[in-house]
Amino acid sequence: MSHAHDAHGEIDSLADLRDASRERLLTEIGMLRKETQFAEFQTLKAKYEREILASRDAVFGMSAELGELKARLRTDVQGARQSMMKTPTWRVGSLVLKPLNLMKKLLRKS
Amino acid sequence: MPRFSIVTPVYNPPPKALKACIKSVVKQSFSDWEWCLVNDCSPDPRIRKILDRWATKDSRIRVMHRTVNGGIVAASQDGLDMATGEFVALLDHDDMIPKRALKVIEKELASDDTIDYLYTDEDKIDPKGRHYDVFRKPKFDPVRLRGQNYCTHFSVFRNSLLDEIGGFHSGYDGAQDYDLILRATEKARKVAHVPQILYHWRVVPGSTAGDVHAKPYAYDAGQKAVQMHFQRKQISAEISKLSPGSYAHQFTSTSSNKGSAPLVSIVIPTRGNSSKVWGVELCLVENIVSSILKVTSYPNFEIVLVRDINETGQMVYPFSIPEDPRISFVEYGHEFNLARKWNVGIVSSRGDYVLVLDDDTHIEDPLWLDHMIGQLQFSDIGAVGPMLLLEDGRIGSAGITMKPKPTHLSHGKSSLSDGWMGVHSVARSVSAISGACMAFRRTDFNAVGGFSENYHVSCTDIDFCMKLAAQGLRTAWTPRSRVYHFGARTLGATENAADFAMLNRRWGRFIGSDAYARNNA
Repeated sequence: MSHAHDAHGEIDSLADLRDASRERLLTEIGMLRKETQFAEFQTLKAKYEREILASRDAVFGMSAELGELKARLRTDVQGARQSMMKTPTWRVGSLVLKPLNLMKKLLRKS
Repeated sequence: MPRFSIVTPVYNPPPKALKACIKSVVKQSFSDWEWCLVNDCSPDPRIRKILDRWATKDSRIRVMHRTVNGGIVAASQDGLDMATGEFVALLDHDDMIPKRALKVIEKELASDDTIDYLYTDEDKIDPKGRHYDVFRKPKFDPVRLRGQNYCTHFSVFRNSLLDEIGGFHSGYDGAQDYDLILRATEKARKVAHVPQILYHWRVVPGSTAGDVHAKPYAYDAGQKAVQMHFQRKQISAEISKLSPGSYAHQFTSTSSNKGSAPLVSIVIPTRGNSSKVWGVELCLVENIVSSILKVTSYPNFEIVLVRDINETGQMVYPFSIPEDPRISFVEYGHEFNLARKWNVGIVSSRGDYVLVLDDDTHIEDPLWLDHMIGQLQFSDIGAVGPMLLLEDGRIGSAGITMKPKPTHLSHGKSSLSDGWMGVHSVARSVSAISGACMAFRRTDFNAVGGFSENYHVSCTDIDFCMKLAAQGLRTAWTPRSRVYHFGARTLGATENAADFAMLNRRWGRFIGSDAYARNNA
């Protein structure tokens, strides 16, 4: 059955529908409803797709931030260790322990 | 079995240079090596004497005298056949290696059992022994290797890998090492780069080191080596010669016909405003759409325009676009967020490949899209960007470096010159590229969660490249595709402190250093 829509879904002529049968009008209404539903579905689909993208990005973001925190922690620990090794207490301590460590090494070798 | 076999084909080097080369090897602080020297019938009788004298002096030095001159490939292969070491290092007969070379390389190899190929930085030495042209190379970059043999010296291969790939292939005289490196890196489990100068390439009259035009046959052989690499990768491309030692590839599989070319969605966010370009006031989006439709040779694309609308549903700056079935519109009525505009446009598009493009751009090169989509045929590439040009034709961006902070590479430099070590003439990997023009696969876009809407104005493109890198995908930049970018005409300056803080919170550990852009080369 022919209907009043052209290839792009536009109604060619409203006059054409004026004397149309009930059956034809119902078909036209059905088609219009489908088109509207399809447009709504497309909008909804795009919205959900964007929400999925946002969730995935959040996961990536959290993982990246965790990596960043770990890297910073590593740097901080290294920094703290280096500054600790520069303190007089540490220097004196290693000086005192030097002969002991030397003996340990010799004992291990023998 | 020694740890290293050094392989050196010898053909009539200056005796002084040969002696210096020998001394540099015997002085190595790491001693577990053998040296396989193949004399390819050098006409100068002194060469034979020097080699034999050293062979009797040091049992690690093994010399083979060929009875007929076979050329560099045959002599190199004889050297490989002699090699019994776990790793094979290639050394030219007149070059030198510093005393620590093998020790440093051994340390790197010992750190990872899966390293199958390793290369180092290098410099050159002139006839007076002065060092110059230090080449600080990037970390392993197969994209750049397809355009030039940037690895060259000092190259060290696992011997079993060389057996697997069949050693040197004949027909590549002068570029036999390039062919070998291409084939080895295709199969290697891991490629390592030692960022130290462990090779001194001697410049003598007539050598490639001094004059790239010295051996034109080597240039042809290099072209053949790249062509074969593409064949092995099953990617259809035509290889052409650029400046000596550099090669360009024109992808042929993407542009053949509409039926086989995948659909590319070009997503352009726009407000529709006007600006003065090349002295003429024009509507930016009308200009870019018209230039795409006019010049693009790629047969299968759609354009999705994401246009701003106000509260009443009207366009902020009305513009008119010619009717074309390839063009569609998506309306955007929220506050400005570039990432969101891109995401909205992309989810409404259909292509397997997506290209985001600023409206303040202009296309003149018919193959701009072919070059970018062609690169995406390599499965390890996640995003591709073109050479962005400023209004006056200078380079706007040759990729983005993270050192010392995110910055456009080569900004303001001439787009007509090849750049240091051909850096502007061949495609290569970069840390990130500008979202002003960026192509990627839809599957990868979905996998990483699209563009992060946590950024409002800038840095979301860098974040996107970082997310791809976290997925094991590299970002490539190609100078073969050139796009004018008039730059932030729509919004003004794009630096945004909040966005940079966000980038730093996620990826701060990667800011401050850049393994792909050491000395911008």
